[in-house]
Amino acid sequence: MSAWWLAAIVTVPLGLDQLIPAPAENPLEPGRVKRGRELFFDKRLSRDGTVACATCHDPARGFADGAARAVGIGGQVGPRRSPRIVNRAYGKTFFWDGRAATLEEQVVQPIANPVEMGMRVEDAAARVGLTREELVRSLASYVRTILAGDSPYDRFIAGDRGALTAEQQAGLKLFRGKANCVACHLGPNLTDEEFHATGPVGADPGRFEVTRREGDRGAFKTPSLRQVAETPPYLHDGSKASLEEVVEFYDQGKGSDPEIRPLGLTAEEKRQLVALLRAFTGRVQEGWP
Amino acid sequence: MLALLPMLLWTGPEVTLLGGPSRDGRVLSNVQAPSRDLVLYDVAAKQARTVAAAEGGEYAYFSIVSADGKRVAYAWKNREGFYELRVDGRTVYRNEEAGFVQPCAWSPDGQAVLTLLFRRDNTSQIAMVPLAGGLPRVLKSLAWVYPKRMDLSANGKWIVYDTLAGGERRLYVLAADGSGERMVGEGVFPLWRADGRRVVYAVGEDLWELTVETGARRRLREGLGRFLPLGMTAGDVLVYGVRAGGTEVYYGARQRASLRFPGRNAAPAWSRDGKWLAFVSRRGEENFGEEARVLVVREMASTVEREIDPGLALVDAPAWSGDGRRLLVRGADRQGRAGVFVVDVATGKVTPVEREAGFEPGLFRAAWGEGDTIWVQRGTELRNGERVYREVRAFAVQGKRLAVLYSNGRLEVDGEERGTSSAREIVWRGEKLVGGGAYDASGEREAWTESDARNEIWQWELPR
Ligand code: HEC
Ligand code: HEC
Repeated sequence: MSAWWLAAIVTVPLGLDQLIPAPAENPLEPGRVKRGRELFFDKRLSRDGTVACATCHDPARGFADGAARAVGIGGQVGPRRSPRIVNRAYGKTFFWDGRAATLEEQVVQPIANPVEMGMRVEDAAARVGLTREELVRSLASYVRTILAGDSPYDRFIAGDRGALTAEQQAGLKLFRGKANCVACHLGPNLTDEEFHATGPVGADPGRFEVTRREGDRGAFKTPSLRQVAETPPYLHDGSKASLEEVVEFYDQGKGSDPEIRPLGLTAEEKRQLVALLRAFTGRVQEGWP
Repeated sequence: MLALLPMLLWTGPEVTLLGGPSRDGRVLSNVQAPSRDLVLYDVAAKQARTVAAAEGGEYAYFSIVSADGKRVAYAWKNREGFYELRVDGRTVYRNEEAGFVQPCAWSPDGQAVLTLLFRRDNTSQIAMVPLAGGLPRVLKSLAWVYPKRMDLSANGKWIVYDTLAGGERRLYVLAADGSGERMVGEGVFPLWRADGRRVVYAVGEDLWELTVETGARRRLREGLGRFLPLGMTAGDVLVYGVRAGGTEVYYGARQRASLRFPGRNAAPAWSRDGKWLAFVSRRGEENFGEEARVLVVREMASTVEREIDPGLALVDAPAWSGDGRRLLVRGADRQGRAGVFVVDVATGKVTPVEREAGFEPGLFRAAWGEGDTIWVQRGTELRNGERVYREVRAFAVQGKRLAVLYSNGRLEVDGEERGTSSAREIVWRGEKLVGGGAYDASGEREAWTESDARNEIWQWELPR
């Protein structure tokens, strides 16, 4: 276990933990967050100067990009969808398969990835006049400040019984009961940060690539459901166009995870679940407030 | 000078361990058994004064005394069936979505209470609840695990708590302003010493101390028994509770069903043929609750006991299937979903029958019906497939026979009125209905639980 002492405090939106975890080696600090924010939008970090982090993680689209597969330099298409990167400060592993253990480890990968930004990280750092170390720390620090909360769901959880409509409240009851969503989507961030095979195993081996355990084939990390309504399409491969399709997918219950099974939801219950998923949309704050 | 020995402060049938000392050590808060009245107990005068009396199904649970010994913050089970935080009779936090609260420490200025909030999705949260109103400040959320205890240092700056991480109970120190956190060791029930630099905590039946800055640790005392640290006074006197006695399963001419883990066994069930006795047994670290975690199956002819760990957070009220291969239990899984489960006796494999996050496990009852169907009572609703009964207090099934006792006391057997009863429970004993106990199909073999559980509150002045 590493030590987690932090220096400064950011006020978090309703529903999130006040403690924003950060490693002792890279405490949150205004200067670094500000620099990280600039870098996040800086296309010079890509080989041909056409792609920034924000190209795929667009603040106007819930920090995702709306495409089924991420598109990098030269129009190259990657194998997976760009995830919403909100509340990642609270994450335990990163990427759909969890191959990065910290955000510091994570942020260098898109830069070096030939399909995404295609640069040696040292070269990218030199281009923007920073050391590799400082580039990494700054980007990771900025990502830690991208926070989503204060949604109708959060107000309801905080005790405001009128914050969710009757339909959404019925959806919440299903979410916790019959539909069993809470087995994996729980806590302030609506994720257990674990890996599950929720659907039939396709071409992408998912977590298996990291652990080489047969049981992990086709398993992906549970994403936070915050701002989910803002960012179709869904799943790691962008294969579901709408929230209705995702709920249909769960109703069929074809994944090998022990928590997945056919749900027998009625048409009305499906509508109630979708209504609830929409209540996870709230306010996104980023940067040093 | 001689080291001072631990001293017994208070024991008796009324003592629970749901309270703690004031900073000056003169009073203890306690939720009295069985009345559930909250009292302040004057240690010198040996007198209890009621602070909040239970009434109409509402009652106090955890409690802590303010630094000046004048106010008590406590969890209060309300009429709607969830817990709110109260201070001296006034509600300061009430939220169905965080329907269980455990106040752990007063802020030094007396304006806020460090409280554990348990949410319906089985997330526990470390929060400061302001007494003047407004939303609690949630510092940290934990999924599926909960601190057994946390404490605020005397200067109000540091929180120490324990939680389950990587299969171990670990201790963390968290800055009260949410600015940082650090893992500091392993153990349970941490409390700050008066100097705010050292923490005392339990490891099994031993008391340990940790110096946070250096990580240095030492064992202060061995063999305190089944103890729970309850609080620390300004004079560095530790007040702790000890569980003495316990619950035991008996059968026949009052023979003990098990010689292992004495005082920790309950809820017996005979197999239909009377060849096997199953019961639940407590294991692991102490808790404020007394829940069991394993099933024990005893073959009566050979007296061989086999332990089944179903991997549930809570297991209770086993019932044998007709073929003697499965046990129906109620409880909660490790993700905190309460419900009814079937446990395969040979393999220990668990199959959920019904599960629900945020529901109280004790409000489920289940029994095998005809043809291996399962009757489930959830709250006051009893179901088996299409058959639904409402406003039910208790029920009993045996083969085709069904007895339903309604909340208003009306008793119905096989659909026919049988007068009224004030019993809380009904059980078939052969052809007769009785108010408790466990029987085989013939009704001849009997088993039951007896309790001589007793709590003691001790104090010990810690060595420098
Ligand atoms: C070409 C599109 C693209 C670009 C450019 C890009 N990303 Fe990503 N990002 C993705 C995709 C796709 C994934 C998921 C990849 C995977 O799981 O294998 C991802 C994953 C992440 C994650 C992990 C999220 C999680 O929940 O695990 C973070 C954080 C992140 N990106 C930050 C960044 C930063 C910082 C940059 C700029 C240095 C960046 N990304 C640039 C597409 C992109
Ligand atoms: C067994 C764990 C598990 C359960 C149960 C579960 N989820 Fe998921 N959820 C996941 C995982 C893992 C993913 C990512 C799967 C993928 O990308 O292939 C996911 C993805 C999603 C997504 C898409 C998010 C995105 O950004 O692509 C939505 C929406 C969603 N789940 C909603 C639900 C609802 C509603 C339920 C209950 C009906 C539910 N989940 C039950 C684990 C679970």
